[in-house]
Amino acid sequence: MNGLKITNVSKTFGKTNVLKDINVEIADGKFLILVGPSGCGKSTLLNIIAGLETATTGRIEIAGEDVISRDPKDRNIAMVFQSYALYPTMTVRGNIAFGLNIRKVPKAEQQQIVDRVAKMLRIEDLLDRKPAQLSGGQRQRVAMGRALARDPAIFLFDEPLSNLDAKLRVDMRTEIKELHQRMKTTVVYVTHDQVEAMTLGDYIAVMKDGIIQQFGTPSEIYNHPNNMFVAGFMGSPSMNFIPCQLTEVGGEVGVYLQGHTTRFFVRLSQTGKDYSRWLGKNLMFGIRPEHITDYAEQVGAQEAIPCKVDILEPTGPDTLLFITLNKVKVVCRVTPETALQHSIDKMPLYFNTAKAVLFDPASGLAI
Amino acid sequence: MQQAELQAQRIRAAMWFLLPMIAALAFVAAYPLLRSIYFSFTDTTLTSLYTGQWVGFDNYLNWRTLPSGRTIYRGTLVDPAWWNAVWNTVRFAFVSVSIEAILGLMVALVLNANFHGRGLVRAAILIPWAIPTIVSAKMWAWMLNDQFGIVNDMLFNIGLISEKIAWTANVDTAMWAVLMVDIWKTTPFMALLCLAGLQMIPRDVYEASKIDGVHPIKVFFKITLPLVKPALMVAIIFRMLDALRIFDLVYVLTPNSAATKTMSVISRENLIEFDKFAYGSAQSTLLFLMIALFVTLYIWLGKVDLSGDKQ
Amino acid sequence: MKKSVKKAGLNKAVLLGAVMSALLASSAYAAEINFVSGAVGKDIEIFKELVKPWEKDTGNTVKIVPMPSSTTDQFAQYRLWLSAGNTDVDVYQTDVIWAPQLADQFLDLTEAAKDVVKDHFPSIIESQTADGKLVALPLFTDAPALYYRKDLLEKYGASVPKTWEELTATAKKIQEAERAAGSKDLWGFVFQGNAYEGLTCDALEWVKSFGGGQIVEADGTISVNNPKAVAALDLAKSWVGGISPAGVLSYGEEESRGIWQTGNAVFMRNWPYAYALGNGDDSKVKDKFDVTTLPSGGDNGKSAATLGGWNVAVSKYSKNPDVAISLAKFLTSKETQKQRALKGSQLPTIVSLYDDADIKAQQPIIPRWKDVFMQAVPRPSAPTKVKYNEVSSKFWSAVHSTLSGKGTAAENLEVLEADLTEMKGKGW
Repeated sequence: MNGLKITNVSKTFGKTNVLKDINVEIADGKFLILVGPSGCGKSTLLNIIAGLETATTGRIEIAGEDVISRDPKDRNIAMVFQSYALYPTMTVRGNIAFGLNIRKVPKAEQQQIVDRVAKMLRIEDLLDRKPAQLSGGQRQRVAMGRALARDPAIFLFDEPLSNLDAKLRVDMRTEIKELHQRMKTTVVYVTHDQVEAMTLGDYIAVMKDGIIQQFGTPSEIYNHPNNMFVAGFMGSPSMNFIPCQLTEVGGEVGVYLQGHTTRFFVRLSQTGKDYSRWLGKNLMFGIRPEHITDYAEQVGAQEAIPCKVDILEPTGPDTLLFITLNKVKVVCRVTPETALQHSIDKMPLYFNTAKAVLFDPASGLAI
Repeated sequence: MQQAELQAQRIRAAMWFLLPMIAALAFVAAYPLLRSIYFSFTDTTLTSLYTGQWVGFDNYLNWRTLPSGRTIYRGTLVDPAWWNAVWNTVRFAFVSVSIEAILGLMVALVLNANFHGRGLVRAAILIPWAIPTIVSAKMWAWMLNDQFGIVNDMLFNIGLISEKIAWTANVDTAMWAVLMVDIWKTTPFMALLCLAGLQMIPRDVYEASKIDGVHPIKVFFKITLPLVKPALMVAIIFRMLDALRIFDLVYVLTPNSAATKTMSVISRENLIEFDKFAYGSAQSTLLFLMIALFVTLYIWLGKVDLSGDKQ
Repeated sequence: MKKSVKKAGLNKAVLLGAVMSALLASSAYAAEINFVSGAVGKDIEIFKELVKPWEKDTGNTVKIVPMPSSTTDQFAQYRLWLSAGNTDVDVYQTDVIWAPQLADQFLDLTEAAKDVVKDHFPSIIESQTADGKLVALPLFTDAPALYYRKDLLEKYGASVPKTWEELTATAKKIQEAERAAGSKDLWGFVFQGNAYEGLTCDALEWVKSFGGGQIVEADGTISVNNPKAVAALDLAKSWVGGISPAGVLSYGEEESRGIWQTGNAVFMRNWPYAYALGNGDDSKVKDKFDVTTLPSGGDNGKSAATLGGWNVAVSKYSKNPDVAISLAKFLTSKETQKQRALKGSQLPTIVSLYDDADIKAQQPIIPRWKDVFMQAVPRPSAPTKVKYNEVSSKFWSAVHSTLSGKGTAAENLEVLEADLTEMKGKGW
């Protein structure tokens, strides 16, 4: 059974196309992330799923039922908002039970549900407080409790963690993941944070300008980005894009890279792709920071190249190195020990090209 | 030590900044108020402003026993005209402010909705509030005129009334005429304050209530009203203060009608026209006390949090 | 040619006045005199024209400060100005009833006017004298009359009413007939029914013409509660909503003139100023109406007209008292009063002007007003002194209540008598 099926959904405000022909389908119980920069249409899409906004064209199916002409309350959904949207005049208990109350669920059952949800979210001792007396994290739990109490076919989360501080955000992220694993309910989760997207989602839809740029599992998105936008958006620090020309040296396809002092050849045979068509063309060589590092993924595959480091940024677990290749700044990631052992003028770096991607700079698409 | 010195220095600086305002307030508010209270304990008249003698509470209440043994009471506190004015004022204040609050909230709800030309409507609705009271009162006096007035003409032409009504002259309709003009004039003010309150309410609470499937009327009473309450309370207190000292509208519309004479109107009458300056001062003082008492009571009873922070 | 002769005569008189005032005014510089006056009808225009010769001859200028037409408002403002010692206003136009109340604040004009007082009606001079001090000089006098529509009375063959009862019947008859004929807005009688000084004037006439006394008699006795006064008010009560619009309870002079001048009333009680305006070119009743003395009531047979009239007083706070006095004298002089009579149909206070040939020719109405004036009754401002305003307010309130149906005339007058007795205390 489908958890959610979005077919040909478009939305226009006047002459602006906010969403252009969106098609997404996920199975029941899956966790879908809508991710993208602000203004990409992800929140609008979520609101259309919720029924808070109407689509100009297209269909929405939730748990196999077409809901496009239904009111939000009849779509069997629950939503968690960015600013929590708690009812300020009601207690926590009132907030969680309000939806049940409206649905005329018997009092005893309401009580039971509230207790169960409160226990699940560990907010039992907050039940008689008003939202104004709670901290941000507590409010977020209550907002989730309100959604959980509904036991809906689908949960909709609208950037639920973006108002929390960094540490709390990580904790809550884990809790949401745990909850999902326990509840097995379909979730649509909007975020602009690619870490949340990677950690939480079963599927990720990367959006930009009202278009889904790529839809897939986190590893598909990360390792096989469709285009330069997706490649650049997912991952931190983001992927390096180095302009280059595809050449063939001794039967090996690869690119020449020019540092401050050295010029060297990087083989691309490990990607296992056929690039013969692109020989001699100017391309974008995309490689993630963790793939220019202090060890070789395949021993003997490529020798270390001494590079001059411009800037060195220790982050704790890793140290980021900034070097210059083909006149652009390139980020590399090594262990702190390596960074300390070697002179910054001659840092030995391995180029692990198994996951490198070449892009056509004209279209931005991966080759 | 140094910190204490810094603190003292800050307090001194604050005092200097406050001084001009305190002086101005003392000059324009405290002095006239105290002087008028002082007058109320003397027998001052307008022709002898500086030679009044202290008479204690005689202007408020005094009594003497006649040779027959009967005691008679005199003074504002036993003056039926004064109590009639008090009753008129209180009635006017409660009715006008209640209706204005309800209408104002309704207007604010409409203005808070998204529609084309909202900015224009918001500006337009303020026009009655922007017109000086004297001007609007005169305007309405003509509109309510029994013979030439447009109100009678329209009501007559659509057949709602069979003969022209003398709105301001008739004792039964005079108060309603005053109320109507005041409501027309002041509802925009209420609406504006309510609108400010409404705009403070986060939109997503409404979205949450849509997903919960709450009926719009329930949304209003459970969500909108409690959230707009602090703003509404402030608006009501402001209006109540205004309404209790209503003068201009009554003075222009129905100057001498006992049915609409308010505390301010009657005290002015005594102060100026009847040459009972001290008596009028006593009435002004009572008016001041009643307003002060009312506001204290209201804030205390309603536990109004004017900052609107806490729930 | 007659005109130029007249003008020369006028110039001579003015020249004389100018020489005199030049002698009086020790200050040689030209002063600006501020004159405050209520503005009804064409008052301001007429005043500006009248004062021109004085301005020309003395070199001083007069700035007129117009006030609202309500005498109550004027009085309140003047009293405030005077108690504050306002030096901006030099000359006040004062109502006939104000002299006893404002006497302290005005200059004594006895000396300045000693050669002209004898020309005025003695009763008016007396009304402006408080404790031997001449507070103001009479500018013009005023007594209301009954305005009636000649054309309508003729059309229905009705005679000019002599009593209030006749007026009631005639008004009712014409109103009903005219309304049946399509004049939906026609009313029988309009007067000044708002709760203000004007109502005191109107009601005093009703009571007095019924033989019910004048509220407080000259000796200070309170006479207002008597069967004749009750009868008068009962009749007046029957008019409201009958032959008079219910809104008459909010009318002053101008509102009633508004109804009258648009041709919507058969009878009107008003002051003489409405005569000239009613015959103006923009008036719908031009040449269709006439005036007569107010009716009498019951079997009394004597009509009554409240003595009105305006005077000029000089503020004791004036910075140019001599110039101000000269202006006051000029404004009240025989020649100016004559011009005022000719231009504004306002009644002179100088006895001889009622026989003046020019006035007779151009304003035939004025000599006829002598009859009205003869029956003039003063308001009780002299006996009640500073309490007059309160007395008047109590009286008009009682009448207004009666007219609007709050209590009967008998009840309201009884309460009024009690209130006045209390107010009087040991004496006014």
